Amino acid sequence: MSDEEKNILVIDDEEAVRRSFELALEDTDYNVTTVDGGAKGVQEVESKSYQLVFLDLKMPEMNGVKTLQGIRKLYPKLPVYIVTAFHKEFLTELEDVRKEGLQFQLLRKPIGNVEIQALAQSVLDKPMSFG
Amino acid sequence: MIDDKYILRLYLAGMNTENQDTILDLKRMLKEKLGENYTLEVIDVFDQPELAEGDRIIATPTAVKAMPGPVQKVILDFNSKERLLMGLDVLLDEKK
Repeated sequence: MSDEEKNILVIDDEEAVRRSFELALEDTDYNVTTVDGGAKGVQEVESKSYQLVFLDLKMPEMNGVKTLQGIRKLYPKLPVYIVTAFHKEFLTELEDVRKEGLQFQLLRKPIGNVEIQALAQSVLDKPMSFG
Repeated sequence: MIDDKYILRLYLAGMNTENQDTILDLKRMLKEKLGENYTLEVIDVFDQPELAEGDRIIATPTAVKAMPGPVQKVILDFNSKERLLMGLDVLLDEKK
């Protein structure tokens, strides 16, 4: 994957969050696209080749669960990290997609620039260790 | 073969069939590298999110080398055995 173009999609209704991903990844070789809603996110995935998606769980209209369901109809294996706090009250919202057997991973919220970079590198390039 | 006892933890999101298969692959790789000289605790973040918070896990699936120190973490890739092994190599090859 190392010589190919690497495209990352950020789906989040909060502009500050979208901007934080852009800032964290602006000095990398990854191309970052952001959209402010789930429907736009599914359209984006359909229109372009992405290698990594960061997906907010709580969004108005089309939330993270419905967005994941839409993405999975198109690409069952595309790495999707659902951004959420690691608390049961949030995680229970993912119960439906777990029952459906849809693949996804979790990314803890809040998250800093270094962690975003570490995750992107681990998924798109070589794994790296951190303390 | 490495002599020190390794204490490892694996944080993942749900215990579905694919994750269970990957855990078996991981255990085979660990046995090849460490023999019986390790313990691996598997933690489902859905069941025990507080442990993930305590270990400052940022994403799943993450492997933690708790012992020997220093504590190190690697975000693993469950989509290919080759990349899973790469992640494991990075985790175990850290300088003590």
